[in-house]
Amino acid sequence: MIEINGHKIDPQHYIDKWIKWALEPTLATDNEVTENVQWLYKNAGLKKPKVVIFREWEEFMKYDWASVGDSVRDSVWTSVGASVEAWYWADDLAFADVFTDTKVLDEKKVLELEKYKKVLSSQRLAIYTDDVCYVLVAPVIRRNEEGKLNSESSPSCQWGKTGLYYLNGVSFEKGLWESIVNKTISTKEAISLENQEQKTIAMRFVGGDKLFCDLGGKVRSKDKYGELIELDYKDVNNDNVVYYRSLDPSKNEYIYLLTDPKVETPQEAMTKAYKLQVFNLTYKPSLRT
Amino acid sequence: MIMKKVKKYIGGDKNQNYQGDVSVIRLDSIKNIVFKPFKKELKVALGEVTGHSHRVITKTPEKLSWGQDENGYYLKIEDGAKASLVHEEHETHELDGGIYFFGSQWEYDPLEQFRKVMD
Repeated sequence: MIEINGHKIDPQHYIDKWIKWALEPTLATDNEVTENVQWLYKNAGLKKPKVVIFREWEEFMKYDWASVGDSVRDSVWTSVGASVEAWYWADDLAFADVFTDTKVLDEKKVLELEKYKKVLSSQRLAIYTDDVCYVLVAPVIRRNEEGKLNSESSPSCQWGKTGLYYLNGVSFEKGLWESIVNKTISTKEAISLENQEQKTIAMRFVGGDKLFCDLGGKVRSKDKYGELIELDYKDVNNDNVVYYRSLDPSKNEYIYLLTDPKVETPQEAMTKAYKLQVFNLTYKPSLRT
Repeated sequence: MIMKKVKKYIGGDKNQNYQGDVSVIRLDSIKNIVFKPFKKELKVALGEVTGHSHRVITKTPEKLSWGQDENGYYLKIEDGAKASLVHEEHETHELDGGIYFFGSQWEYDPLEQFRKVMD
């Protein structure tokens, strides 16, 4: 907690709120995007620009930017920026939010802040020139519980029908992403990936069962909670890959969990998997359903 | 209708139960967690692919409160109140008064130690 102007403030509350806001933009119509940009120019004392709106990432990337190069270089961003730079990014808006809640800002500034929020929520990338403003609208963002870009069913950043593909925060070309999430990638292809982050994720999707069959391995230890299977394959740290294996009672099939190669027993593997050491506990389930 | 295949593993620590890959740990006490009022339900884990979630429901939300940290979710149930941990594919766990921790399974990641497992 910090204190501003006599008000107690929890910084984490504002960090969480504004990250969520920045990644969950309000979908805006073309008219709204245009109005927002024109307000921005007017507020900076500039003439009304033409607004070109892109709703697809690929269209934006493939646009003939060379033809607008000169005007981009002559961008009026410096003049626009002078008036908006204090507000432009979400972290600045987060500070403004704190100063609003603590009554540091007056009502006029608060109303202005609301307008800047609308501008930002409708666009993700914008190129401001004298006469034209090129806007790529904000995409739909998909993240996992850890906050990393992640989706196994669609682009993690999606504009219309196109987007960018991620798994656990790691970027993939669409074709490779499809072969991983659809599990059509072979063990050989997965372990041949040069990018270590991509390889680690691809191997996770290939799964312990297939890796065990294709790469060979041995049961290193077993107890009443399962088995540790050591593969004849080294990870990025030059340790043999080790999986915990046990029967899933709800599906009546084996589950595999990649585990720390340093653990000695399946019980220790599960203690770590459930972070039970935080509570000074070891894995001793009473009931599994 | 989804059929629930159930097998129970009985024995071990009576305060340590598991619903699929979610742990349900009954704690004696907990420090440094800010508890908030319980609303309609509390999702403690969500499967992206299936869309199914492990969630807590109750008929007396005013007697429950919840908190969260980097390890998972915490639930406080007043004495005499009850709640249930439900999931489309797993048997329901009935919870009575006490403090509970719900944790997801974390998989070892040689690049960054551990990552949370998704259903």
